[in-house]
Order: sequence, then C-alpha cells, then structure tokens
Amino acid sequence: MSAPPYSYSYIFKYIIIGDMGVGKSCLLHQFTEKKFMSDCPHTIGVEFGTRIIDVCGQKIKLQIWDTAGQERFRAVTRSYYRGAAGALMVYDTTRRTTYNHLSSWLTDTRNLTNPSTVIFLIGNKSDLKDQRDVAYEEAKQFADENGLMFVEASAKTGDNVEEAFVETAKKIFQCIQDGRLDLNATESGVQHKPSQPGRQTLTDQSPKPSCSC
Amino acid sequence: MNVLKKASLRIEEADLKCNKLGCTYYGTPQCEGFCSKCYREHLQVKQLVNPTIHTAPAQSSQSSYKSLFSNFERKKQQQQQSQKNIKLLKFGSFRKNIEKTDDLHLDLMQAFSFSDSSNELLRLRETAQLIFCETDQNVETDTNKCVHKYLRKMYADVDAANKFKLSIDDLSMKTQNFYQAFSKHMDTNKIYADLRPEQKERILEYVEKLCMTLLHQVLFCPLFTNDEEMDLAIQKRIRQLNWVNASHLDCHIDEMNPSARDLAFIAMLELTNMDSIKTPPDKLSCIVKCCKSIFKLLQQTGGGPASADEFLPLLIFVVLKANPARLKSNIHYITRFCNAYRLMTGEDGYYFTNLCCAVSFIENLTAESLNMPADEFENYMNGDVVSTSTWESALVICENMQLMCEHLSMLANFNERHDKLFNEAEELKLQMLHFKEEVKQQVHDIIEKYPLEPKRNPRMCGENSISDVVHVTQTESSESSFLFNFSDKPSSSKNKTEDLISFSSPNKVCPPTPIPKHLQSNSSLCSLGGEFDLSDHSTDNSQTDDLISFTSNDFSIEHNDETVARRLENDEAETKKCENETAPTEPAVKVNSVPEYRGFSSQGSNIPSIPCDTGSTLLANVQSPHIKNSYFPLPYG
Repeated sequence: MSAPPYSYSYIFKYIIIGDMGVGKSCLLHQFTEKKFMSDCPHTIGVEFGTRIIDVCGQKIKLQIWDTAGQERFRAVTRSYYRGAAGALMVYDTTRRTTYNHLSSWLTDTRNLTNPSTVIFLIGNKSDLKDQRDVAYEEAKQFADENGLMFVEASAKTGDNVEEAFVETAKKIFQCIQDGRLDLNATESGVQHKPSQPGRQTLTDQSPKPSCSC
Repeated sequence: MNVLKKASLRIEEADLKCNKLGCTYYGTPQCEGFCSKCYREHLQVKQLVNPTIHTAPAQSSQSSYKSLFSNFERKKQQQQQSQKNIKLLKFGSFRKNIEKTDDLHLDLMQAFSFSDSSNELLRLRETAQLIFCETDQNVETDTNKCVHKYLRKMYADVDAANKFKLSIDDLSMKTQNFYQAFSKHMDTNKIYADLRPEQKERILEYVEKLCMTLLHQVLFCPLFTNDEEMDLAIQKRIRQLNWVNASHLDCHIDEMNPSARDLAFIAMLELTNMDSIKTPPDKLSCIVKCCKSIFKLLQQTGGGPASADEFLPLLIFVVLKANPARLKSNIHYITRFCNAYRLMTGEDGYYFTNLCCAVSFIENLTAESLNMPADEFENYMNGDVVSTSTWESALVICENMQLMCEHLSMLANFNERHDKLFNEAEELKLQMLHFKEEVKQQVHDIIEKYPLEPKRNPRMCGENSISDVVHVTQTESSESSFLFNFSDKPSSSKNKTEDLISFSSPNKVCPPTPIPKHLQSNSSLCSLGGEFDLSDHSTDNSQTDDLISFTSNDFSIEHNDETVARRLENDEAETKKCENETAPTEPAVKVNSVPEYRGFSSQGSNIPSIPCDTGSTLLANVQSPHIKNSYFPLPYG
C-alpha cells in the first residue's frame, strides 16, 4: 500500500456513479483538490482520488473510485462496486434523463454492494438555477422513499460537496461503531489501519471471486 | 523511438530458439518452431511413427499464428517435463529415503538461499536484506520458516491439481489463507511485536513476492486450467477488432501529437511488459504505470481533470492496440494469487478493476456498444470493409512526421546552444575589457597611492619630496616605463605595491647628502627635484644627465625668479628706468656677460641650451633682480 505513514486509522472505499456528464469527476476533483493545499502533495495523483478527513476525532482516508457512466459500459463496470463502503449516486439537476436513470443505478448498487453500504444521492449543478429540470422536492421524495441521504451540490462552486463526502463517512463510521459493519468482511470496503496490534483486517473470504470479465 | 525499441524486448530469445532442447539455432514458425535441421529429423521421426499423416507446414496466416502458439505451448510442456525430470534426478541422486515434500523443500531452500541466478530472486534477496537489516534475526528466520512451510504445501497441492484432484480455486484459496494467516501471525507473535505497521506490510509484500516468484512457473497459466484457451480467444478477438479506432470508442486522442503518441506507446508498453514479470504486485504496478500514462495523456488533451468517463474508453483502446500477451492468464493469476486486500482498495485495485472492465468490454463488444449498425460491424469483423483510419495507418503516416518533429527539436536544441555560445563569447569579451580597465585602474590607483619617491637625487630624500607635483609633472617616458615595469609582474595589487616599495626603498636607504642651502630654502624646488629622479630611474643615463643639467639650471632660475618677485615692488621704479637700456642688448647679455643673464629665469624650460655654468653665475648674481624683470617681456614683445 502506498502512504507509509499511518496518519489515518481507517480507509473507506467510495464509488461515484451516475450517467455520463453529470459531473462525477468534477465532484471528486472539487473534493480532493483541497489536499494540495493542506496535505503533502506526494501521496497519490489527482487521477485516483484520496483525501484524509476527520470524523468524530478519527482520521479517515477516503479512496474514491470514479466510474465510467456510459450506458455501454454499464455491463462491465460492475466490478467497481465490490467492497464499496459508500456510494455517491450523482444526477444532473439540469437534465431530467440523468434523474430518470437513477432507479437503475440504485438497483445495480443494491445488488452489487453489501447491505451496509451507505448510498448518498447528489443532485449536481445546483448553481445553474435557471436551467433546473428536476425539482428539489421530487428528488428529496425519491431519496426518502429509498432510504438515501440526499443533498443538492455544485461541483463548480463547491457548494455542499464537502458535506456530501463527510456525511457519508460519518454514517459509515456510525455503522462501524454500532457494529452493523463487519470490519473483517472483505466486502465491507473499510480497512482498519492498526495503530494497535491485533486489529488488522485483511481479507477473510478467500476464494476471491474472479472479476466479472 | 525508444519506446518502440524497448517494446521489442518482450520476446525473449529463448522463445525464438529451436524447439528441440539444447539446440542453439533459431526456429521458425514454418518448421513448427524447429530449426531446419531439427525439423527434418522431427519429420522423419513423425513419419516413422505414423507414415500416413502428411505433415506439411501450415500455410494460411491464421493457422500459422495458431502453430506459433501451439509451438509455445509445446515448449512450455517440454519445459515442465524437463523440470520434473530434474527434480526426479535430484530425488534419485541423493536423499532417496526422505519423503518427497522434504526434497521439494530442499529444492526451494536451494532456490533462494543459494544462487538461483534468476534476476527476480536476486532482487528479492536485496529487498529482503533491506527489510531484515532493521529487524531482529528471529524475524527473518521465522518468516523464512513460514514461507517454506507454505511452499512445501503448495508444491504438494500443485501436484494434486495436476492430477485434477484440486482446482485452481482451491490453490487460490489456500494462498489467500496463507497471506491472511501470516499477517495474523505477525500481529500475534511476539517476535514481530516490535515492528512498525509499515515494516509488517513490507514483510508481507516480500513474502508474497517471494512465494509467487518461486511458484510462478507452476501457478501461472497452469495446464489444469483453461487459461490458455482464453488467452487465445481474447488474442483472436483483439486481432479481429484491429479496425476499431479512437473515434469508435468516443475517446479523443490526438494521434498527430508526438507527445500524446509517446504516452500512448508507454501505456501499451507497460501493459505488454506485464507478462514478463513474475509476481502479482509487480504486475499490478505495470498496470498502474500504464493507467497513469493514460491519465497524463487525458490531462494533456483535456486540459481539465480527467474523468473515468474518458479514461475507460482510452484504456480499452490501449488494450486493443497493445494486444498484450497472455492477457487473461495474467488477469487470472493476479486475481487468484495477489493478496486480496490489494485488489479491493487502493490505487492498484482501482486500475486493475478498470483493466478487468476493459477486457470484459472487449470480450462482449457488439455493434451496439460501438454505436454502429449491425451490418457495418459485421462487415468490419469479416474483413469485408477495411477501416481507413486505423491506428496503424495513422502511425505509418505519422512516422515521417515524428522524424521531422525529432529533427526540429534537435535543430531547436542546436539553435539554443549556438545562441548560448554566442552570448557567452560576448560576455567573455566584456569581461576581458572590464578586466583590462580594472588593471589599468588598479595601476593608476597604486601610482596615485604610492607615488615614486626620489631615489637618486641625494638632496631630495625626506618626506617632503612626496607631493602632487611629482605626478603632475611626470613625463611621458617615465609613466610608460612605470607601466612596463608593472606589466612584467601582472599578478596582484599587493605585488605591485611591493614592487613599488622595492622601487622606492633604495631611495630611503641612500645616504642623505648635504643639501645646498639655496635649494633647501624652497619646497617647490625640492618636489621638482623628484622629477629628475624619476626620469633618471627610467631612462638611460646619458639622457638623464642632460635633463638634470638642464632642469637644475631651470630650477635655479626659477628660484631666482621668485626671489626676484619678492623684491620686485621695492625696485619697481629703478627697473622702469633701466628697461629701455637693457632690452636691445639682450643677446649680448646672454652670451657674454654672466651677471647680465638673469632675465631668462621665468622661461628657462623653453630654451633648450643654456650653458651649464650659468646656474652658478646666476646664483651668484641673485642680488640684481631688477635686470631680469626688465628683460622678461622682451621675447614675447
């Protein structure tokens, strides 16, 4: 693994999903770019999003997997989901079609992740108010019905971006503390970096399902 | 260019050699991988065994590629057979009565404690030294013990798997269990208690690499799986899809841009390199390098942050164009035997997942996924239509472009160097001029600071001889000789000063001679005396003597003049009276009568020849100044 100094105690794996052009990469960039200002620059490149955040006094390293959103890759991108602790489902508030596809994204996420995976719905491009195509209330209702956390954000202005990522991490951390998330399960998407010995979690489930290809 | 050259290295020489073991000639696909001699023998043997089968070499291009691969396969089988034979030989030759697994263990011991000359093992041993030099001796011993135990088991399991008693998944499971057990062992065992987490991680990685390097031969693309068929299938598939270009995949790659092309080449090269590496973590790092150069490419063309939406198509494109050897085998090998946590999270896992997606996309590629009509897709796949803008043709077109680009950059480089050289020369010139000025200035300063003291003139010794008048009246000849003196020793100013000191020191040493009273009385005269001393020093004696004789005369006249001036007022009336009388008789006065000569005093330097004796006579006649005064205006009047 990279980053030898263990300045964090957990690693959470996130995936960002959603149609092409909803601004997944921009959200990721907006969130991780701050690391250039505060953290040391020689960790992992921009392309692979990581950032260490502070949740409830714990340092948590977020590893964010950006995914390709094109319809034609849907069938093959399933292996992204494996072992994700959090899934950020993104739609574009100015394009209704991206909202309409949410249910199929949600189905995929539910099917391919474990039950404790936290799903967070993000309506991106909230800064383009005059082009709004999906009402806040409508999306909120969808989120409530499906038990998702929801926020409207803007990768451009940075509005609510931080909140979305941090809230997800808080929820996951809560799951860990409640014992709902089994740290020892491979698919949990959470690694505990042992500052104290004896709690290292490595894969348990051994015959690794060979990837879907 | 380098990229292309490097890419060719991935075919090992051994693969090109004749199929017959021990033969050093090269084989050809036409002769089924044998050299011509061995092929003839091979045919003879075959015909003896089964005379009815006609064994003509494959003709069509497709079968030739198959034969190439089967050749590969045969070779591998032969290798494995020979390995077993070696092992059997070892069993036979010594330790006959020890059970088989122990012998394997011994083999392994030998493999990495002694010199198995393989580079991977040598490198691993180096890393091991680095890791274990910081730790207790027990750590290394214990780690090696664990590794041996695992390897021994693994060899037995592989044997079982070869007899189809175990599946590859069982082996994979056992390996993953071993990794996990070992890391738990490190956490619980007190031998490892003092280690930092990152040290443990390094040991774990080392163990993984060591085991996999040793087991690569039996676990990579093993005979008891269908990996090889899948390799063939994907290879064939990629060949069929060679018409797919960047625009089909909606990825924007600037094929005309040399740096973009280089990055694409690097990505392909890394991907093809993956096959030649033995351990899963290192294979993963190849994939990471490949993906990073793709990201660089994207950042170059896109300008903004690269997204997965653009990345995946480009990765697919790279896989299609690189067509890496034994792609599926490599992916399976990594999935099965790489420590699973590595694949779950982290950069390695992310890129590996992307590669899996790309391969899976290629396998399931349809007309729909390329957004083209089904019949067009079929035409392409059948080879009825040849794509006009494939990567390859673009490459051919661009080859000269690339050459030109290289030449242009070389020219630019030359230009730069030329300019630099010019500037430096210019600078050097300035420096030299500056240096010259500096030296001049220094010399000047030194002359000003340490003016030459009278040396030869005995009357002039003493401090009052140093005065401004000296350099004001310095003659040209004296100055130049001075300069010449210095240029003989052009070292440092200190030297020059010394020079000057030594120059003037004789003066100080020289015994003071009594100074005539009449000279002592006037300071201006003393300082003027320095002048002859200087010229005396620098020029030859004959000249100097003349000068002395001349100037001393002059001074005495001047001295006269001053004294005359003092008395002028007193005698003014008398002078006016005499004026008319003396003027017409001037030449006569000068030549004949010494007492009447005084009148020259003020312009003595303008008159080249004055008899030597006049000085003394003049001095003697100081008492009659009115005559001189009256005479003065005449030459100009």
